[in-house]
Amino acid sequence: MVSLCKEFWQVMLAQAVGTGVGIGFLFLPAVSVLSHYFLRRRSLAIGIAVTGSSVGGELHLVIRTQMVTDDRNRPPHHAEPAHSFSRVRTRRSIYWLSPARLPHPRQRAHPPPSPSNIKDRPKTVDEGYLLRQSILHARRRAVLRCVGHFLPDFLPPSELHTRLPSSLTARSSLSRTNSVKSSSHTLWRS
Amino acid sequence: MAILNAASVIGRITPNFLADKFGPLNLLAIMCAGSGIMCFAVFGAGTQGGLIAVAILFGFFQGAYVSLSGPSLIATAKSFNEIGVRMGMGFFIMSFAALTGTPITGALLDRFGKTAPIVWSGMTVLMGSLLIVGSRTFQARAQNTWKV
Repeated sequence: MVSLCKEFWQVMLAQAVGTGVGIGFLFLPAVSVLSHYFLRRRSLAIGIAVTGSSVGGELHLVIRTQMVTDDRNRPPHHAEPAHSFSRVRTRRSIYWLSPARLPHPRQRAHPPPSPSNIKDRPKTVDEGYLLRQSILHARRRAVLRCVGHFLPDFLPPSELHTRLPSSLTARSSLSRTNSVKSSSHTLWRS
Repeated sequence: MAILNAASVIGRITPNFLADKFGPLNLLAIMCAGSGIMCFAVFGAGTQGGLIAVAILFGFFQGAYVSLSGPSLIATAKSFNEIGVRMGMGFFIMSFAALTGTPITGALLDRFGKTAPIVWSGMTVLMGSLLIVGSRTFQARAQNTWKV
């Protein structure tokens, strides 16, 4: 929200509303739930829970620094580098981790059999087992996909540049020598 | 900011571990006083190393304040059902300070330079720690124990 602000009061509004809503709806209920659950070592439990925010702040700083350096070191023949923290990846990972992809808890795998043929219905496979396995598989796949999307953001960009295919490097070297063909590249660079 | 956040990770766990033994309000008063002193220590941090040291110590004390404010409010509750009410009251009063503190610091920075906001922040935090000492005294008298 702050990135969209043009006036000072808009920054204050975005920060105040965002922080207020976040603390009011997430932070305080989390702390009060923990305090009701833990009777012994209550302070330690709350402390560990609150530590998550500082760890998150640390991670966000690393990711944003990486994004800025990516933008500055972006090679000219790459519209978008493969290791950038793009919006598409974030959206995809959130989509794959979202509970909307999982079936509703009250959803049944099949409609229940009618009373007339309930005894005649053959029991071949355990449908509940299959459903549970499919849910677990979807979750595993989402976690792996998330790791695969975000892990390259923490790698140094120089290491990834060395692994570029040779055709791209050849094209860039050709464009440097040929002034007529490289007009678009020079324009892009400027 | 990264150093401050990294130091606050330690500051958020260690004092809470000790708070179970020595009482959260006692530790909160100490950590708030330390945080106020660290605000004034910015004056002495001329070099980069000094600034890093101040960031580490301030992150430790500030993290302890953030994580101990919840347990210390819980410590004032008389019964199990009162926890939510106490926390709501405490954070409601804190919200006024959170609303006014940052704009006042910004206005002081614009008008008087760097010294005035540091003095304002340090004095505010030290006054807050004195108020916590007062509430700790009343609470210890009410509960008839030093471990509050």
